[in-house]
Amino acid sequence: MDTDLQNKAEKPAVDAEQPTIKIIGVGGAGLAALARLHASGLKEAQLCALDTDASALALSPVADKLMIGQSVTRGLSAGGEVDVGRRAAEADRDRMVTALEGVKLVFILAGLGGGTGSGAAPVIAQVASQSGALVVVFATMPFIVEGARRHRQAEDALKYLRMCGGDSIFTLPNDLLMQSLGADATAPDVFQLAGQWICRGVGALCRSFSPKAAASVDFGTVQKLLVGKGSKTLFALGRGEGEKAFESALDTLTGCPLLRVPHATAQTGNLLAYLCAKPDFDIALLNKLSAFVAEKFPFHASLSVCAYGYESLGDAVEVYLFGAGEAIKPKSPAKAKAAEEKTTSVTVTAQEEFGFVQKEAQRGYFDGTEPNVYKGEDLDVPTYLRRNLKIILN
Amino acid sequence: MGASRIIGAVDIGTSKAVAVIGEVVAPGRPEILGFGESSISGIRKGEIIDLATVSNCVHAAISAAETKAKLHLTDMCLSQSGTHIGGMESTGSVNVASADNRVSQNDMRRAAQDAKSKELPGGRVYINHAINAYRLDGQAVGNPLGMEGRRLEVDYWHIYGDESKIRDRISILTAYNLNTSELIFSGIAAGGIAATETERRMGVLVLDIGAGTTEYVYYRNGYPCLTGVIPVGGDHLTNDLAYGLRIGNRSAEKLKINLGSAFPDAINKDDKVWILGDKNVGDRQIRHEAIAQIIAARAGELFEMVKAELGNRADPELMPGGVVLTGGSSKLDGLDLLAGRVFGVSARRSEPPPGICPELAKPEYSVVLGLLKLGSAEKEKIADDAAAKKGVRGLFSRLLGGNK
Repeated sequence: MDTDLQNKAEKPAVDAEQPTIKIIGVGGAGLAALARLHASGLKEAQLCALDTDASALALSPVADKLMIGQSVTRGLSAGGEVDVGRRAAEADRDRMVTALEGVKLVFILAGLGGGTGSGAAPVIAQVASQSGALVVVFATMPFIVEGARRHRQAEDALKYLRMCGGDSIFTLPNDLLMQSLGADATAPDVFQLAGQWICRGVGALCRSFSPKAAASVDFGTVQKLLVGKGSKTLFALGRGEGEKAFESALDTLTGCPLLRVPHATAQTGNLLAYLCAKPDFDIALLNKLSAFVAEKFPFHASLSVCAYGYESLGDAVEVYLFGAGEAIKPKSPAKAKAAEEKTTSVTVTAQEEFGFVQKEAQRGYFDGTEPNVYKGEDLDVPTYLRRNLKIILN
Repeated sequence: MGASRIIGAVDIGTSKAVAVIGEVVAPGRPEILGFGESSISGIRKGEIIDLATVSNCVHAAISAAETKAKLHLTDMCLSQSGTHIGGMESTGSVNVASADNRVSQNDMRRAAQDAKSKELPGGRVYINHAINAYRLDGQAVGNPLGMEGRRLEVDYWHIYGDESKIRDRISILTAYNLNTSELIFSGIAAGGIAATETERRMGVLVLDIGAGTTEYVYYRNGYPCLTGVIPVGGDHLTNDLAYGLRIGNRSAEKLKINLGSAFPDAINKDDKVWILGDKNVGDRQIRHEAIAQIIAARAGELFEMVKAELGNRADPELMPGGVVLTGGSSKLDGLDLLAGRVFGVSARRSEPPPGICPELAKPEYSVVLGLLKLGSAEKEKIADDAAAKKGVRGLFSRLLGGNK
């Protein structure tokens, strides 16, 4: 295990040597997530807002603002046109290069499906990647009811993001988030939840190698974990409160909607489990967490565990799970155990993630057949989606 | 000749092919000698997308049936389904020829010919003609033979389909060295088994809900007067579940069969079920009602679509026989309740024909059994050279002629 238990008090402050982290919010959803991160008081990273829309940027609480494509949109939004978003970003490529100089880790937060997010995010990813930074993307995917066009745009944007050098791309499909909310949840509730989860996820990753962490991993480990090009990615989180906070956090982690994909256990190789609790938490919880994850994800190639102490959490416990990289092939138990010891390095080109609403998921089994159009509706798409019925699963 | 008492039928469905061989002991009551079944891949929503694979599957079923029956056939009845199948109404009319204004056999034949001579759009061929009613000088009559009148009209419901798609299916039998003796729309085949004669006379809607498609046939006065195919079936229910619950298709199919229901009202709101049953990551408890809601949305929509197709015939007054559900997907729990609610009439599941062997006593076999029944009735007619013209007859000599 790569865990490096350290005593917080003994650790000298070496902030100067810490890698620079920059979090860039792109487009409307990206700015919203950024505002949330800003409010959470994240100290480990610099925040940067990036948009084509001058009025949206003006509203952002973040100090570092980068307005792009003034020559293209004249300070207005991209209007849902990916092409406009992309041209806007291309026009201001030089300014992005300057903004990303010397940054070691870049987070890009975006909502895919619209104009600026889908168009500009891949360009930023490319710029960041070319400057040698590790690029991690958190992207929300549109609701299915938002229509085929937005879906295609989101999918294309994902493809570009992969091609342009996004090292790990974590997607949060809005439809999945919707399922975890109650019966009277509205779309804004889902956007809020998406922002909240992205904020928590990014914060956790930023702090995982912070010298202030109760049990940290080094940046190299995070880098190795996240440079998972060509692999599935995995992001899930859970939270528990009260007496059995840790156990209920593990329960909600298991039930996290982002894990609700077939064969979720068998597809990611390098895992990072992360524990957030009050600073004087029982260190045995770390062992429990790693045992729990190892059991639930038997095909992982490596597993790192880290922890961070928060005063503000009280008796609540939060757990996170990040994954990327190729899973090892299921083998006989003895072999699987042997393989668990050594870390596999993967270089495959086409990255897929799960949790994302794929095209085949919309028509699923009927993909490849002629559309089943009846009175303007494709009958192969589930009725409850077309009728916009809300099915409450929990 | 003795062999003419033996009859075979093949139903090519979306999920499986079934072949049955029977011996005609009484008119319309064949005794099963052997049957074979094989699951099919290569058909989606009733349309063949991989002919070679489908062909092999069908041949496997026929071969199994022949092995069991210990004989080889030269011809078989074949079901037809798919979204390409359409239906239309037409009326044939002739002036009564004889001087005494009495309707002769010949008049009836000419009226029928007139009705059937309606040109179809390009590439379409007739599959079945179903006679509906005779009118003599505008008055509806049961059998006009020998009655007095000037003008004889006959209403037909025609079922037609895409010629190349029908040929595809016939070619599967041809490749096995079999002639296609009868070509029957699968909805009508199923209707002949699922609904009783009384129901068909009163007015009944038969829904054959298969894996890929749903065939509907509305009977009135004993004859099919409206038919159609809706490309929605059990596969859609599975796909909806797989999608809504984020599980694999196979798990969804299992879930549908074990816990599926089309009537959420009948399910306790607090019931929770394990979605995969293996209690691993990804497995979770969900509300049982959610499963039923997803299924009910789809099944309800299917029924609404059929109702819309029926138009003013969907009036409960015109459907005293109610709704009869058959086909593999009709086994789904609560489906009859839902159908009853949508159509506002009583709905029931089909019952297997009396005296059938237990292996075939399932709703998914109504098409092939209906084929056998209709085919044997047809055979009797030909054998007796009877003049009876009523009922459904497979008239597709044009097609077969072109096929040789």
